Amino acid sequence: MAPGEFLDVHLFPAGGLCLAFVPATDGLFLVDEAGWDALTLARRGMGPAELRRLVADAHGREAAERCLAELEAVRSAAAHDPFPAAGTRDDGDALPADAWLPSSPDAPRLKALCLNVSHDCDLACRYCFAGRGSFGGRRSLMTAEVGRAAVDFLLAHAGDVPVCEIDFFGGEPLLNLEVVREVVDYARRRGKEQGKAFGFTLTTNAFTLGPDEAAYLDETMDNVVLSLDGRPRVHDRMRPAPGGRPTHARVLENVKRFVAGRGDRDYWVRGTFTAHNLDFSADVAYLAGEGFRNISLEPAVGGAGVAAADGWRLTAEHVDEVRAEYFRLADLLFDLEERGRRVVFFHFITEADEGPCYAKRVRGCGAGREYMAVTPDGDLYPCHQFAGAAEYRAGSVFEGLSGGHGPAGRVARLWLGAKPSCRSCWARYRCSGGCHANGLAATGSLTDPDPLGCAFMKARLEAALYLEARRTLAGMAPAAAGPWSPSAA
Amino acid sequence: MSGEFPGESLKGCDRIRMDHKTALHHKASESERDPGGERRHIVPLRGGRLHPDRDLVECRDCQVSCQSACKTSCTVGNQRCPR
Repeated sequence: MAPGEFLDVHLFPAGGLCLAFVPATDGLFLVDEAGWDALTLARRGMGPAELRRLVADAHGREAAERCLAELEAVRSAAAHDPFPAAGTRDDGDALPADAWLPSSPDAPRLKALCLNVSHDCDLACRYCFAGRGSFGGRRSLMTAEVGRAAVDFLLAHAGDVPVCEIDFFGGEPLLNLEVVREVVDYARRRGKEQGKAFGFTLTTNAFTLGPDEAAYLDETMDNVVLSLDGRPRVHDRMRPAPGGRPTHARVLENVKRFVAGRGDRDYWVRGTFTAHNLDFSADVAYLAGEGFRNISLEPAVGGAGVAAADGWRLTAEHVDEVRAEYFRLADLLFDLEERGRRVVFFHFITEADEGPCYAKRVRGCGAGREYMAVTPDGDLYPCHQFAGAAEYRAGSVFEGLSGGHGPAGRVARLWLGAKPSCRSCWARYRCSGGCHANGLAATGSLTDPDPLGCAFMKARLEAALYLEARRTLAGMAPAAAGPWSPSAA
Repeated sequence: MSGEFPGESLKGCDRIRMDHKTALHHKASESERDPGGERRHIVPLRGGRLHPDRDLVECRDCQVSCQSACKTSCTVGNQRCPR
């Protein structure tokens, strides 16, 4: 990029620092007043002569000369963008979609299936997007026959993918653990026959996670996601058993037992925050205090069908408070690390050198193309968030795919460039266009992201970059790599 | 120009405290000087390091996003590339 052209850099104040983030390469810079002003002008496409004059007027000639020289490192970082932001171009199709989407929606090359082995649940969480387990339909469990057919379907559509993934989900998958066992055994046997490895994950509310279940999950699952919202009053308010009975004490005991035996293998203690606990850094602190190493806390999402009578729903009015809380959380994690305790917060993982390639970042989540969800009846949907939405049914594991030209096919063809407001967003290579289902629920359109989700994503990314800046300035060691990923080895 | 013009850019923003009084900024200021002792204004904390390889388009070694911890909001950028 030549001097004087638009410079794609995001400038933001962060807890006493001023930071500049280069979306194209994840470059991160610390700036002072003169640097901030120089980058602000460069973002506008100002040429070097005028930029030098204006910065010199405000900060002196020497500062202006140094800023111009130091700007080159930022320009260099920004110059490698394969999909430049709008400002230089507003045509998202300038880079052909097929450069990033190698698979036809009519013949997806799948890598992963989410098996909703249980459309039933033993809790009655108030914010549940899955209709408290039933996904808006009748309560049901997947049979072993459907599970085996799903494995066969995945293998038939996996092409040369060396590692397939199956995620056991629900509802509550522990309500159907026998079928989980059968599917795991079957997938391993069939995978071995076809020279493919399988990775398994399971998401559970841990309400019935006794010693036997824990031993089995520890042995077979590459990653286990355990739902626990944090402090007792926070958890029990939103995650009661039917009838309103509290569940925190039992769930905490079960999760702690599982984690104690997990060693270095992957797990995530995953909670949800709502408008009732905007001080959610206290919940992360609570979970860290219970000894958990990997923690994820997500803002509650909920489509129109999710009841929100008691005011838990997050709205645009909460964005500033949530942003401030993410920064408090970053400070908390930094302080813990300074005291020798490293806690990994899922959405603050930005520092891994082993991050995904541009192709992955541009393609997005891969729903309907690399990843699909299977209901207990064997119906296919682009992902678990679409399960039960009849118009997005994409076929079944018995009948095969029903074709790529309906709504499910439109999901499969989505990518970063298909979402106009994402093309120029500074966070585009981190969220990759966001969750399609959340966008649809919020806006009614597959190509418009959920504005509230965008606001939260940007807030937590700024906080994550702020934490990384603090860690770098403190000379802390590079952080551990990101979440679990299976290996063909 | 207004608002973001030099000299105005930092006003009205209470999160920015560039007065060198905070302990945090004191640490930061140490890295704002080059080896010759001159003050730097744009200090790289990390360089760009995304995978540029177009040939990874067909690679499917990494984890599918929703198989990770969240299941409710897409976070592609913090996945791990196993290559």
